[in-house]
Amino acid sequence: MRRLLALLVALLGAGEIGSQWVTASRVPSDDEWRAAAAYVRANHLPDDGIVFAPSWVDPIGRLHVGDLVSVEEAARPDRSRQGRIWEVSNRGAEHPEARGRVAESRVFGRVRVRRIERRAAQVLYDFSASAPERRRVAEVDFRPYSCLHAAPPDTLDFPDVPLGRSIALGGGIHDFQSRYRSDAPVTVDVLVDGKRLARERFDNRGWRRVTIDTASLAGRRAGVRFAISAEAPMARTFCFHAEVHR
Amino acid sequence: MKPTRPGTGKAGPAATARDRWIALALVMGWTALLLVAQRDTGIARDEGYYFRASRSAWDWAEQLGDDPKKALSRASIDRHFSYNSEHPALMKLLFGASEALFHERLGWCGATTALRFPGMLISALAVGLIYLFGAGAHSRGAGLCAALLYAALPRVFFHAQLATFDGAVATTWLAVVWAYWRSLERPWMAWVCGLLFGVALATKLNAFFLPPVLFAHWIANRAMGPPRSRGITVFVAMVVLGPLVLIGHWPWLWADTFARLSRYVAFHLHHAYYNTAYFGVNYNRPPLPWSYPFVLTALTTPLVTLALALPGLLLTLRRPNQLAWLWSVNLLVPLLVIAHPDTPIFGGTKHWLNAMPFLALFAGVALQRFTEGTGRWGVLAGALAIAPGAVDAVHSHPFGLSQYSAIAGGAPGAADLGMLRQFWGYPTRQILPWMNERLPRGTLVYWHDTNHDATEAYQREGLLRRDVRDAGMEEPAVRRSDAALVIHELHFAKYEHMIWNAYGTATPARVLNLDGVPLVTVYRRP
Repeated sequence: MRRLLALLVALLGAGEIGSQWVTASRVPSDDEWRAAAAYVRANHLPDDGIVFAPSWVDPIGRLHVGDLVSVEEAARPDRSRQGRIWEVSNRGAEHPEARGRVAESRVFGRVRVRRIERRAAQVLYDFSASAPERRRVAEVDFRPYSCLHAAPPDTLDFPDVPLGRSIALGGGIHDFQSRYRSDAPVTVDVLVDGKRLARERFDNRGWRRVTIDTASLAGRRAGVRFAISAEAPMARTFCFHAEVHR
Repeated sequence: MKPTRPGTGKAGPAATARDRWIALALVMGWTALLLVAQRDTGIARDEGYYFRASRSAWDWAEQLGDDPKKALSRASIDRHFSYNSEHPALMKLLFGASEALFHERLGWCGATTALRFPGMLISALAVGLIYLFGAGAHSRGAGLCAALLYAALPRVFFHAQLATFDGAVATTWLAVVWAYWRSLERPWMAWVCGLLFGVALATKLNAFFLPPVLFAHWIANRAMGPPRSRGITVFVAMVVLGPLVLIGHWPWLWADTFARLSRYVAFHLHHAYYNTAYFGVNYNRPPLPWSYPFVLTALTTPLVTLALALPGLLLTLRRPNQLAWLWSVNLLVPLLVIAHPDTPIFGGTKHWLNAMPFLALFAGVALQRFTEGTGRWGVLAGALAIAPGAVDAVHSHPFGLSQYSAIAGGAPGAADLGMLRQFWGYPTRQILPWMNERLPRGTLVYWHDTNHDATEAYQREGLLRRDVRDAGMEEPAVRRSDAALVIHELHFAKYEHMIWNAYGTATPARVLNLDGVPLVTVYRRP
């Protein structure tokens, strides 16, 4: 009986050491990262997106293909405009925004590169790009978002905006200290030529995306206003991104 | 030392000379390992504060020798002890004395090593004491197995290297429990227990929980029938000697004693809530899920040690003086304190490090019993039981706070689970050689969570070039810096984004990682 128990202990110990070895052996080497980065670099087109998975590997990914990952790309709040996305990953992880047809998948040791292709949204107008003085990277739900900062009550006006079938709007509360200090929601009214088109509420539950239907206005040019308000504005540091889709 | 026979009512025979030599060898051996290991371990955030407080405390001790009247004046005591008065003075006096002796007077080692030495030595005493406790309660083999299993716990190995109080309070807590257990049969040990309780109080606040824990055992011990304790002298000794030692050793309490004692306790009762990531959620306000200390223990302790602890408990049930109950309550209470919804959020495993000797004792009992009389197979099994912890401790070194066991899947598995990656900003130490080589002269660095006292210590000890300057704190410092660090914790994400905004680039210059999990990312202004 004791021999059996000793054997079980030995097997458990050996198994645990084996598991530690497996964990260490799954870590990509610098050479593997470099090979994957070289491949992406050689095949990357100017409007392609690049994402890394799992999310925590992001700094290592940017270390190797940082020349292709601008701040705007690293903190892109909406990837629907990207028809091709390069997903660089290890541990078999998949990035939640790398959705679409897998056009290509290559393995460089323990790093996998996938090229995802999908139908890209045509962006007629990017509100964030049109207000660079308000735009910076913010932490929402501990992730980076390049977005427009607005502390309620606040309004942002965009004259002469070409309208399409929809406005894609996303936003959230930055940063985590504001989220701990208040639970109050932030309201965003979207007005087109002074007429309210939509009212959306944003709270502490991360980055929320909504699509506002503007099909009846497609083809027109109009003034668009984002009116941001909060009943309890303390610590409601809001950040949003919006773009007009054809 | 022979094992105690069940039902004899004996707490165990006194240690033989051979046992004392074995215990001493364990203490010396582990201290030597810690001394070697800590050279690569960065200065933890709290160490920076304790270094400063230690020097101040030792200045006072030196003044006491030179000019006792002046040293004993309230002005001098306040000047030397008001800084970091949220912790007792014992360890800080020892840290300061060690620096004065081993670094300044003898020149045997650097200041950081000297400051850390008392913590290492006292932490290592636990290994010897576990051996004596296990040997006295069960057998020499059980004691040895328990001591080695404890020494191989990766998180214990990390904390024992630092000039902090967590490794030390694990030892002093264990010493009180050991003395209490001995006092059940040897009344004079009650006064030793009382004295050790005072030392534990002088080490760290955790010790306040000892009397209720031991009293619960004492009640159970009496209720469960013979063998019985001979009286409550041990608690009298704790009540008398505990406060005497605490107040007596800590000059800060010599004036306004009750007000300052109240402030000391209140500081910890209303302690600031730290941020801690737990299954992808950043907890910054109470309540922390009650499961936190249990899950963290499960994810950071070697599986084989955990697996052995339960049969160890069952095997210990047959021992006298309700030893199983004594070890169990000391294993559970430190975790239950943190699990309580009203306990401030601290994060990490260090706040229940004092539970780990008892986990190791249970596991050691089972390991000895399972391998006893099985010859070479037993030795092999014993080695394979201790090896996972030792291998993990070495592999994760010097990033012990990012270590996760095989149950979690190591550091990458824990990152997938969204667990706390690290704290205290200490991994910066491993970036310094790169900084020394690559940064231009006079570079202004945003050090993020690295303590300013730590960067100063690195410069004093020649680990960081003296021309590298500190940009300061928060966003203004990021904006004026030439190079910036972000030390990865979930709630620190915003600092990386601040750097992107200020530098206009998201491309790191260097990423320090453990098994591919980023710990520190360095940026340079283009």
